[in-house]
Amino acid sequence: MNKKDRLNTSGLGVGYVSVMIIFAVICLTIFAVFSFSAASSSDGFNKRSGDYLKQYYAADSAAKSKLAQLDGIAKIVMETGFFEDEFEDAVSEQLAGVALNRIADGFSAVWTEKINDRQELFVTVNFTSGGDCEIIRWQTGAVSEDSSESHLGVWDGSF
Amino acid sequence: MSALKAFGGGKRRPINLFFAEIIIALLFFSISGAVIIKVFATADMKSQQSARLERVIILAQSIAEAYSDSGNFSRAAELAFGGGLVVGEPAADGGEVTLSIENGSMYLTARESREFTGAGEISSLTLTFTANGEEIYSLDCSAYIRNGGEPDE
Amino acid sequence: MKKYQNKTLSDTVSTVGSMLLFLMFAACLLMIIAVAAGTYSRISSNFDKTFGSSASLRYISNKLKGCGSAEIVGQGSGIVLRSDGIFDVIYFGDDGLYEKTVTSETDIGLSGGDRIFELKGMTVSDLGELYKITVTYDGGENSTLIRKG
Repeated sequence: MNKKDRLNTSGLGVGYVSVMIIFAVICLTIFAVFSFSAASSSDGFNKRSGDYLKQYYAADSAAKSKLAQLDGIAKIVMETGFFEDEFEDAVSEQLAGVALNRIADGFSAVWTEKINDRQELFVTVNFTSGGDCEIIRWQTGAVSEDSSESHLGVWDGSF
Repeated sequence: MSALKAFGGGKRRPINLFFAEIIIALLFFSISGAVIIKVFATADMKSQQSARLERVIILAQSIAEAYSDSGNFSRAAELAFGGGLVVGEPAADGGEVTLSIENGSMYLTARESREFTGAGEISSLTLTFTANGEEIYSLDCSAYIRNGGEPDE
Repeated sequence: MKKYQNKTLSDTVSTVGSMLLFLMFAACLLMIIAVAAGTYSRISSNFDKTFGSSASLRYISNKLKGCGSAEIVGQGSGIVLRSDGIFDVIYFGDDGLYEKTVTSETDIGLSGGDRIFELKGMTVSDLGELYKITVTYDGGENSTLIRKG
């Protein structure tokens, strides 16, 4: 029996097992990485979605809180009998960030609540001297950006 | 060599490379397999958690939207769960209610607080979804109900 | 030939044993790979199944939150979202959710849109002050409530 025969008497060549193991490990690694990637992308998507929902309802709650304050002011001012004259002053004194526009028989209150860096909640509520409060707009929209900062850096034809 | 001789009872035995290779390969496979199985287990767990979070987010949105409209948690829960769920006692006046959902695998705890403003009532609701004692997701929402300044008695 | 004649019974048994061990080893490896592939397939198909339904629900919800007003069309199989003179029509048809944006009211119709999600069904129902959006996918359905704008 020469040296080679002494070293291998199984009938199977050396290296087959190693090749199979390497193949199996590569296959398993690929599947594991794909599985993890699919699971974490799904998880990331849901977490972002959950975070957005929290941000939206935080803005929604803030807007409702402002609406409650405005409604309270409107009620107090209405009791004085000088709604048209005093509502604007009372709002500007007590609430910041609310713009009032005159409408027939009352005021239209307009304000925004920031949802995140890209979105805002736009709210418009009409208050009338008759004591009505009507929500005209309760809508999400993109944050209005300064056009000088947001323009694309393309050539405008001038030198 | 003396050890080999001892194995062979003093007779010279050939070294079997096949067995030597298979042992080394198995050692390598067991180490890499342990790591790979851990990755699989994590991926599977993440996938299940993600599917659960997905359902919870949709449910939370439904309850929050219905609550924002009515300011009534019982009604909101009934609408969101499709009327099959009977909410025993509404979580009114700073109360708390816990519901068992998804066949008892999860719990929804709702905490509600109400504040009377000059012209109405603003109520806040905190929804907390838990499973195995661990918080999955929580959401705060609110409702403003005008009632002419007269608190609900 | 001399080589084979010199082989003892123990060598033959060793060869057969090694062969069997090798085959068992190969079968186990294949089984492990099959299990791994199955796990990946399960995770991936779960993701695909639920992604379409939840993403479409979130998409419609966000569109509704961002529109001026909305109107159910096609007996609940579609919804028209109006904002600033632009009509966004989202409807179900041909195993998918479609969307089109038109500027004229006469162009509103449940055809000619772009496919945005693959679904088995979508219905929008009116619950008074809320809309209920239900989407059906392979293996279940999902629904959410949204306030009217």
